[in-house]
Amino acid sequence: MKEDYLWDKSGTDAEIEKMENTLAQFRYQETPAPVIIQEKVLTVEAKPKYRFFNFSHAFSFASCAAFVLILLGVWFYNADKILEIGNELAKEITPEVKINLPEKRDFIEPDREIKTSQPTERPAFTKAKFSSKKPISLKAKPFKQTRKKQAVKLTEEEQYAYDQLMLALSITSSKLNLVKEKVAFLESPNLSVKQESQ
Amino acid sequence: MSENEMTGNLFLFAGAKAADAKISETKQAEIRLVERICAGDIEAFDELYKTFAPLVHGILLAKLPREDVDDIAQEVFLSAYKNLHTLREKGAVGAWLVMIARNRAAEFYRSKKPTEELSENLQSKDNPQTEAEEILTAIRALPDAYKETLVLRLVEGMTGQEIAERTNLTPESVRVNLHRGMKLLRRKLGIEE
Repeated sequence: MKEDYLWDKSGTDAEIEKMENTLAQFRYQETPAPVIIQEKVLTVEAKPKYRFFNFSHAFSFASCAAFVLILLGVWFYNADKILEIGNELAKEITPEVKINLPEKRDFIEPDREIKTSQPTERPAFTKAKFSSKKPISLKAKPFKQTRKKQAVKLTEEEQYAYDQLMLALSITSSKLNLVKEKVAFLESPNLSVKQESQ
Repeated sequence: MSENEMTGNLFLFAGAKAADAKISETKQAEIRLVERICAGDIEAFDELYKTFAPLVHGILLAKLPREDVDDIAQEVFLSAYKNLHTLREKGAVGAWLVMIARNRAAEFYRSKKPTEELSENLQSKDNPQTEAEEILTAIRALPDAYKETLVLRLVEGMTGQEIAERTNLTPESVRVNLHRGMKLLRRKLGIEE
């Protein structure tokens, strides 16, 4: 049967067999398989591209900002409590210092004389001798008092204020002197030697 | 239906079952082969080459000048080796190779205009080489589906069943291609049926 031979070479078909024999010269001749060269691929890590907007930087910035905001919120929410705690701590740390200040009126010394500077008169010019031929007029010019040196006339209130101010200044200076002496005493080398000996 | 017909049908059914079992066996063997090649087994690649070289040769012979067929067949296998890991259906390696061969043949004609030198023995009709070339030229002039199947059958000597297995075509379509192609070839060669 013709069909069988064309399909599975069963039976005979002279025509197809002839064709096969003729075309056999073009048939695949066994050749070795192509030589495979196993390539070793070198992998080079590419540098990461520079990006203006970096997600990791943006994320870290956002997290920092959120943290700061939270801190501020906590601070404002508990500001009163924190201040109270701070005050208590300050009280505990610092010792109590009692300063007995005299009353205002105690410093008033009604009998005290306050000397105020009075303008003094300028001495008169004396004649001087000059070698030059030209006569020089040695007439003394009348003394003109400057406004600064004019006697100050104070009202009673002003005088009182002035006195008080001077009194305060004198007290302050005396206190400062005391402090200065004390500091000098504490810093003196003899004292440290004594303390060591004790 | 007579008893003889029923017995004949039973035999046919049994034959079809046996053929199916054989196909599945060959598929399993192809899958194992491909897996071995993917694992870096060079010997498996040699085995693949021996199995499918006639198929690729036949496909290329149906399209390309004879002197270029061997070189391009080697290129097809090299390309297949490089890209074998991309093959999804490992049991269809034959069809995949056929596709690569067809693409290579198309590339060949895109890059180079085919020129055929006239043979010295062109005039002598009695020379068997001339007759062979004449038949081959007639086959090449047929539509793709017919010429590939006919070359595989007449030149490479494969049976219809083998062609179906290697190319992943159904046996029915191979049978149809063979008969229609043969009919057209006879007509071209002036052979009376």
